Amino acid sequence: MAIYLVGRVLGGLVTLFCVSALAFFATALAPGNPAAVLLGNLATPERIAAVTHEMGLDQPLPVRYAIWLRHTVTGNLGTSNLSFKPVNDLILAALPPTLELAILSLLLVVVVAIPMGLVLAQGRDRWWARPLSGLVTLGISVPGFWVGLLLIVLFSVTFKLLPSGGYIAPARSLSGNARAMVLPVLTLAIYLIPALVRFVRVTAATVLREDYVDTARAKGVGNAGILLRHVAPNTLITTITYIGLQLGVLISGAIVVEIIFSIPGLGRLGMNAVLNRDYPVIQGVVLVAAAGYVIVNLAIDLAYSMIDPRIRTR
Amino acid sequence: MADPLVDVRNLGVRLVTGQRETSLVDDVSFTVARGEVLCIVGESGCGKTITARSIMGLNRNDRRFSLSGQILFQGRDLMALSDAEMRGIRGTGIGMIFQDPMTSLNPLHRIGRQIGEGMRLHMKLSEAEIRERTLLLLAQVGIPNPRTRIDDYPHQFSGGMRQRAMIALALACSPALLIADEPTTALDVTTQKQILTLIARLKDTYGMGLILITHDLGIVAEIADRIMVMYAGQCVEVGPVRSVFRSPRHPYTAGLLASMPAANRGRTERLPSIRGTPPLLAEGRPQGCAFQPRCDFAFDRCAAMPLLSADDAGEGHLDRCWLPSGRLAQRDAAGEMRR
Ligand SMILES: Nc1ncnc2c1ncn2[C@@H]1O[C@H](COP(=O)(O)OP(=O)(O)OP(=O)(O)O)[C@@H](O)[C@H]1O
Ligand SMILES: [Mg+2]
Repeated sequence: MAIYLVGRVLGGLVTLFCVSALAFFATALAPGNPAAVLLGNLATPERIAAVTHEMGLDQPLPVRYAIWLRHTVTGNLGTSNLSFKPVNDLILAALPPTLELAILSLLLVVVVAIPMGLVLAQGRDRWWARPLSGLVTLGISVPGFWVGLLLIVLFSVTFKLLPSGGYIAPARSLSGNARAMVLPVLTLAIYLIPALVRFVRVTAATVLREDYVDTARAKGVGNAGILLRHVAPNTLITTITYIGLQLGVLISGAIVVEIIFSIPGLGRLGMNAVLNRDYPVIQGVVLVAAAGYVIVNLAIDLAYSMIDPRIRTR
Repeated sequence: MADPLVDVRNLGVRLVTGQRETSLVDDVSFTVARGEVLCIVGESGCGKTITARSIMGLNRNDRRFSLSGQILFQGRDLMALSDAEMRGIRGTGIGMIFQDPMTSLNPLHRIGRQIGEGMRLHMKLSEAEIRERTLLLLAQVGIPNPRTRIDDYPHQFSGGMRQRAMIALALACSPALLIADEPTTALDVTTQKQILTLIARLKDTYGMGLILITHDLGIVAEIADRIMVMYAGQCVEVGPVRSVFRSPRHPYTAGLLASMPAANRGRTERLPSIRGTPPLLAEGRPQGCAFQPRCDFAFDRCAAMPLLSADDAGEGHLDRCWLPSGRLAQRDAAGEMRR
């Protein structure tokens, strides 16, 4: 058990290292000179050369990587080429909206999709199962954020009930924050729910055919007991892992939603950095996103090994 | 024997898939009394499991199956009961042991919790009393150190121990009838013997009726009071085990008995087996007697379906064959069944 966990942590660190190398070289090797972008229409060959030297961009790539890695490991992600602010500060400022969006959406997704998938699996012969399943299939086939855009049109343009964008920190106004987050969270959740419902439904349908479900029925356990005590735990154990693997979809979805709703989060920070070839910011954002992915999956592994007795009691 | 514990009358199970309807179990009737052991035998796919599951009502809410006939349990027709009433019978009235102990226990629940679940539902016992009874049950089924093993998970038990735990689980609420569907098929030979002996002993301890589905005719000879032979979803012969073993009336029964290894037979001699394979019921039931294509005794009457009937009065030995009862014995004595 302890060995298993140490292995998982080491694996996570290796993943992070690989991602950092990828983040660095992918941006460093991209065409275009940041110095030229920075100078804009002030650029002359001499000025570009001077700024390039100043930014250390004329040094050999391995040297630049070594320097960057040393700074990164010590927690210094560099300075933005654009605003000259520390990347650390930019990311810290952008993190809360993104975290809020991601966590609230994930909660909503889990709370809606898991019961729905379970109930759909058990009630597949009921009259409501077909239309509901149809709705889920529709949800999977509708393009990404179409529903979100519809929601904006409906609630902020037509009814003027909710803001169509922007972000208000909860510290400033709790109700303002809530109002601002309703549509983005709904949009992201509606984007993610159908796939999870389908996964849970299929997994639970498999569990329902397991012999131990017959054993439970033979004991006289009713439908609710079968679902809650036998099917749900065995389904969840697989679903937890699936959610961890779907985290990438959540992160990329959050980026799109931030851009649709102009939320000053990590996604928008990264997007602007890409458009402006702001290398340090791009690298920082990629690294933080990857770290989030690795940490959450590590936590899921941990939770998994505590829930599943076949691993826990080994 | 006057009042049977379970009285199955003309049980029929049809499988409906799309437009097709196939009959998996057809007109099966039998009774089991308290303290009595009925063994159901027959080749794979002849409907033994479906019959057992129908008694337990495990397929009553499965749309693909449609059931007919009556299953009278202690005088009540189980098929007419509501789901809630049926749940009250499961576990307390009828207990069931399944074929594969590796998959029939929930991997996430402790053994003790799984055994106690039925008691928690049906019996007015405190948690402490449930735990006491669980420990007693574990001891009864021969689990060493029940106090330490009660909180184990299934994966910490061997196959034989899991089946013992399954038996404890089935007996938790002292059912009047125990159904065991090939309870030892998944176990190794030495464990098989132990488990069957255990089931037979506990049947006496609890005074239950027992329906045991098995392929092992040696076991049948040892523990059964009555035997039902199934072929292609029908009961082809049923009766007291001694009568059926001594004078089988259906050629299929005779074939099964001939293929049974016996102590007095030389090791080197090859066991005879019934030629051919049973019909695939999914492709429709054959006209007339289902065994006819494989039967050495077939004659013109076999084109029509024989009824389950007794040749002589008393004993309750019935068979579904046109052959007069004496004929099979004469031919068998002449050695024609041996190939
Ligand atoms: N869920 C099901 N759906 C469709 N067909 C089924 C189903 N269960 C059983 N059958 C069919 O019903 C017939 C009888 O099956 P059953 O399981 O009762 O046989 P069995 O006598 O128990 O055989 P075995 O000795 O192999 O356990 C088989 O032909 C099988 O293919
Ligand atoms: Mg079977």
